[in-house]
Amino acid sequence: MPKQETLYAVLIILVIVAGVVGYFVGSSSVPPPTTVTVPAGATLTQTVTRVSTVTTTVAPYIIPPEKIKAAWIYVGPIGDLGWSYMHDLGRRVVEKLFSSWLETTYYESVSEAELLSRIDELVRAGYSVIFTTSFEFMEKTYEASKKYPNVMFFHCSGYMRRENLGTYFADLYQVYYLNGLMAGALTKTGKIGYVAAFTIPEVIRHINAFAIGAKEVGEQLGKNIEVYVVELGAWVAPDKAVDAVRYLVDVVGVDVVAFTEDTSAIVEYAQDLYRKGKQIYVFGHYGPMYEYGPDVVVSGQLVRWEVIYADILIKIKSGVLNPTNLNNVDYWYLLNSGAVELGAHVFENGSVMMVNPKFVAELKGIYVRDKLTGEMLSVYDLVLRRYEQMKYAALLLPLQFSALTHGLENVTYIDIGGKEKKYLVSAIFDPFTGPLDGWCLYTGEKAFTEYCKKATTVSIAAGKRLGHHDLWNMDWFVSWVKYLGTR
Amino acid sequence: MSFLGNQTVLRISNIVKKFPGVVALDGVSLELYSGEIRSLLGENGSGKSTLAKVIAGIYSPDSGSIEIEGRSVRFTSPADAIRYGIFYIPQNPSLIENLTVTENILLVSKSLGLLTKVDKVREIVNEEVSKLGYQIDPDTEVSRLSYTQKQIVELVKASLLGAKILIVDEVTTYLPKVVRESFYRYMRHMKDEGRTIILITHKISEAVEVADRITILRSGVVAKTLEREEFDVDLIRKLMFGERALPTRKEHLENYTLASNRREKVELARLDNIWANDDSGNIALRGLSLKINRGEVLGVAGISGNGQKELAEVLVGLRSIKRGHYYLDGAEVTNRGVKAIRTAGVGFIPEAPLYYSFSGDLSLVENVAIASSNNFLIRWGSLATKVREFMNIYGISVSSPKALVKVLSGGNVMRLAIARELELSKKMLIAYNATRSLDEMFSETFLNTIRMLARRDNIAVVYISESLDEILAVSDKVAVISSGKIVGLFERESVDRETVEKLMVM
Amino acid sequence: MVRVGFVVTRRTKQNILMSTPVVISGSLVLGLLISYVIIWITMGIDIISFFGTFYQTITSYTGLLEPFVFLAMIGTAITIGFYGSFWNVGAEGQYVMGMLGAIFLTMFSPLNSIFTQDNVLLATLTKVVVVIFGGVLGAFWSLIPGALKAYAKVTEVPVLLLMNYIAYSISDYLTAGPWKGKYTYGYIRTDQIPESARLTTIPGLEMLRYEVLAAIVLITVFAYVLLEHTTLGLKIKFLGTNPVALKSSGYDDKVVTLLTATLSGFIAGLAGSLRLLGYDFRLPYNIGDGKTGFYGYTAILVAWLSFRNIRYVLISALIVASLNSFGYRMQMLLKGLLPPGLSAYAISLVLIGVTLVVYTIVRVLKEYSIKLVIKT
Ligand SMILES: Nc1ncnc2c1ncn2[C@@H]1O[C@H](COP(=O)(O)OP(=O)(O)OP(=O)(O)O)[C@@H](O)[C@H]1O
Ligand SMILES: [Mg+2]
Repeated sequence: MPKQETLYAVLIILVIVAGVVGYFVGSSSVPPPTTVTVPAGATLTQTVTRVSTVTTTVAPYIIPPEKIKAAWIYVGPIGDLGWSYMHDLGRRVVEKLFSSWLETTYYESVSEAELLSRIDELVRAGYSVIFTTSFEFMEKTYEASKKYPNVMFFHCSGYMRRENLGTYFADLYQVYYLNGLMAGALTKTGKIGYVAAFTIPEVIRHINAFAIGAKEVGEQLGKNIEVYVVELGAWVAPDKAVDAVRYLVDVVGVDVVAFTEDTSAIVEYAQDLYRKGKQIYVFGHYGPMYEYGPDVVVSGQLVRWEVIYADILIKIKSGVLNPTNLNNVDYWYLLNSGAVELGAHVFENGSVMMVNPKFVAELKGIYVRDKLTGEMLSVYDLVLRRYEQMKYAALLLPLQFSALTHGLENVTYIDIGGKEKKYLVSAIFDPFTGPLDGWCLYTGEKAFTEYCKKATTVSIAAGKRLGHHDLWNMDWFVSWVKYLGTR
Repeated sequence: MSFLGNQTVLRISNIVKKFPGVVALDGVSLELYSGEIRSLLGENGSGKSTLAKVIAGIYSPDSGSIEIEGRSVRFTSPADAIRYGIFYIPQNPSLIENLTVTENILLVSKSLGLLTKVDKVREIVNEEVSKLGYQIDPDTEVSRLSYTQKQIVELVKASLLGAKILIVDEVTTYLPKVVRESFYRYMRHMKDEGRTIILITHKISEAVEVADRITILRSGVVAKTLEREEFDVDLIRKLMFGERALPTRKEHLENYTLASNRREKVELARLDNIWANDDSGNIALRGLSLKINRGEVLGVAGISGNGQKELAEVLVGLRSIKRGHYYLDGAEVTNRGVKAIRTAGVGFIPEAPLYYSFSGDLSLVENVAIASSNNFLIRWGSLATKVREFMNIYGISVSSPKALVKVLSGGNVMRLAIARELELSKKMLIAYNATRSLDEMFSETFLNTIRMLARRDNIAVVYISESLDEILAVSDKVAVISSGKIVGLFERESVDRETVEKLMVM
Repeated sequence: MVRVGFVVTRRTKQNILMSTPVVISGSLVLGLLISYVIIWITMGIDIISFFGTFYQTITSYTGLLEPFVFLAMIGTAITIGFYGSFWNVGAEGQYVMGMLGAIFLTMFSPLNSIFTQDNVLLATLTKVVVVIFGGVLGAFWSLIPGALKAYAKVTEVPVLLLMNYIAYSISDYLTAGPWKGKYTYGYIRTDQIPESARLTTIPGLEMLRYEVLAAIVLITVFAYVLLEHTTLGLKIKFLGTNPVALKSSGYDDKVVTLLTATLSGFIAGLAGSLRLLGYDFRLPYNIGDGKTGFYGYTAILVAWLSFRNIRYVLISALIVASLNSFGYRMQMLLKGLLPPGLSAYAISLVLIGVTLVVYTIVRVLKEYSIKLVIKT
């Protein structure tokens, strides 16, 4: 039909006109994609947009970039106080701090399925440093790093690395241990609940550390400490999390709850119970959640991703890191680095409230023995002492930067001869020190550690301190942790 | 003629209305007077409905002007026209099917801020309907009404809302005699009140009987407006159809009829004690039996709503049979579905082809293809050729075979249904009020064709109609249906009109 | 007293300005302008960067390709359903079933051994089988509501929606239970399918796979031929516009309903299996939390935009994909300008929402004229 054809013609003309207009508008506003090329000898692809390879045989040299455009990709919304919010806080800090040479942007609520499209867009928009902040993004980030060899990728919490893909993580297990000490002092029933997002090694580690702390104190007070774990199967699942707490409190009979779930729902629920006359102790997770439950939050864990982000970006700016040398970049920052903190609240002046004042008196009134020295002290003082013991580890920090040196992290002392002789390398104290007994959550083929590949129980000899590899792959629970499954 | 009859209420001048590929109105000028019944005549596709729709504000004309009582108006919607008291009752009832009669009327009257009380409306509806010598329960859902009943409701709606100019588009075609007469009375009454009625009809005799003036449309122009004293059936025919009008005459048909053959009756189909329900689950056919012979036109006479619709549906397989047997061509086809019956060579021309046969939103070719394409791939080329042939032979005026069926004029839709179905009628044809919307000349041609088919091709025809005249003209045998049963069966030679009429109302 | 009412009448005059291509592109332009005004008022973005970003979006074909192909495939599936008045809002579930089918055959059936051998030809043939199997599961998933509609007169829409949730639950059950992976590091998810079972990336078009390209071409051609040139397609059109006419032509409307549902579900299922083999490689847990990208739902918008016209599916898919992607890009632009508490993610929803609302209004105005009547 001729009429139909005219219409198609009109449509096509419209599209062309729109295209031309768009081109001028677009080209006047959008800077061309910048090429961040750091030739370092060998064969390198020169540009972001073209896939042609230019063989350069110049000697390795580094051109630190003038300006850096860095992008963050978050798995969840940044509105909540959890994981993505804290990453974005880190982004905001470095953006301001380095405003003279750093430009940042982010995508939130990105699903794994969309990740590659989003990365494509970022690269086309000239972003040359991309942080992907979810374990789920690991394989796709790896794929993207192969596709864009001149872009630097940093993946949080994963283990796949390439010359232009590094990894980083700030771990909370020491803080969980400190929370555990308080939990063991405060629980009346001896039953403690833990709501886990997934039972991945990271969370297992946190649960164990928490359980170890609780038992250290609780046992001395004559309590039979048991930690009950419910798994959610999701990072963000406020409704499920509250259901799980309800189950733990009403059915199992716990009176302390810690959790790994990216919202403040559990804290709010506990505060609600308090208002109805039931005291439950909770520990804030990840963000400063004290304000959501001033009567129930004892303490918690805080994270400061900006410590890592600042380090990475400074090293890029100064030419230390470039797309050819990230193979071994694997940040593993603990309490000593300042990337994690004990507490659930940050005061206006920037200092951290480590323990909710409401519970300080009670904690100061409960006395236990320090198992290292045998001396009696209040639980409050024990927490502070352990905090300091783990916080002070001057030499640990450089070791925590690279996959090459992680193996040294559980070396407490080295003998350097001379009059110093016993030189302190890592922290004086670490919660994962034997004797410890446990049972394997994953066994056989599904296990990650040698212990559980071979047996179904684990027994760590007295005095043995677990190494990076053991911690990173942890697939077993200490014997007083009870796993209740996915709910 | 009343004294008021000279005042011009509506003057339209030089109205042009074009549709893609068609000029439906090509400069129509017309003056309507208060207190007159004006009949609008013209063959199928001549522009009657289009003109009516322009007056009623449904279409806006491409050019030309409309004046009401001397003031120039421009309607942008039917509501505009309704505000001037212009009401249009369309060829295809446009009531909302799943509302009751009362609700349908309330809907319009509320939007005009007139009657808003349910009880009041119900009462008035009852009254008005019975004034027409008819009966309809105001609380029935419209979907359960017959075509004719729906038009009555439309009529009542218009008169309730105080129509000053009422346009009725082929409402009268199948009205039972009594109702028709009370409708005429009703019109005359309106006319005496100084209102104006535009009566679109295909029955020349009807126009001659009731109209004060007749305007004849031909291919979108006014051929002539005749005053009452100029009325002459032959002249009107000639104005309507041109020279073609001459050879087809009543007598012609009669002669053909008389030459009926005396072939031996061979049974093709048989209904044995058939019971079936209507749409709302009430019994519609109660033990109906009928023998259908090859080469014979079997007329089924009856008053609307006595099971004709259900009988037609049973015959084509659309309605399930509760009890009884249906044999076709030596095999039992009781509840065997439409396909078994259709593939045996049965054609079906319903009174509402847009409901039964076609999808108005699809094109002519597609609507022909659905009934005749058996291959996996459709051969559009040859189908288009076929449709063009249909268009030529059956005089269907439309821009192209790819046009949508819904743009066809009412009569042309029926012509397309006839064209398609006659071809499918290898053994039997079921027709139900098949001349609705056809112009007189085409009706005659059609009736002729049916008889010819029966004679020449030995096809069995079941001709169900609410028009006794047609039945008497076309049938070899006449069956009378009443309350879902055959109450009388006559050979052509022995049929007597009065007896049949009596049986019909039994 | 003042009374206000609407008088709605069906338009009969075909206006060239109201033809479908013009309506679609016009709604897009108008929708963008209105969105711009909203964003400008709330956040004060200048028009140059707004449309500049839009331009960037539509020229960044790499980012668009992947959502485009899936929206186009599933959009086609749903459109076929629309033709037959089978309102397939269950494409999401059918898509998930396609994924389940694909991962089942590649990982948990004897076919798995084929992918561990080095026989490229055999692996390729098996991939075809796997993709088709996904389609079959999708078809089955759609057949259930289809059969309920045809034989029990149950409205399909709620059933289809329900089927989506059932598909999610089945997927989650399998992912957390029997199919839970060994190499998942404690996460609940399946393992990845073997390398040799994955689809092949097209060099230069990283977001596309050869097999997906072939599928989209085949599906488009198939749908076009089906609807324009086959008796079955014609029957589907009659089913959608006047089932009585279909019946009185001797066809069983129930059977045609089943066929429509099957075809629609089959294509949605194909999209699912292609997705799994080409992009996702495994099933995630909580798949209903947006892990599917909600393509099955978003594609309803594609079908709606190209309302019962198979010719406009591709352009509609492109528009929806662009708007979606544009919304994401707006996040970059709006960073820091967003009022606290408002997620930038909402922007893409605003864009898509406004455009579709505009489109819907224009469509209604195309078919009907609506007049406000005020009476005193
Ligand atoms: N909406 C439309 N689009 C396209 N063509 C149309 C439309 N409406 C009517 N026509 C065409 O205009 C012409 C006149 O149609 P109209 O319905 O006015 O005829 P009519 O005189 O009422 O015929 P009938 O006696 O069959 O009802 C026909 O050729 C018809 O196909
Ligand atoms: Mg007409």
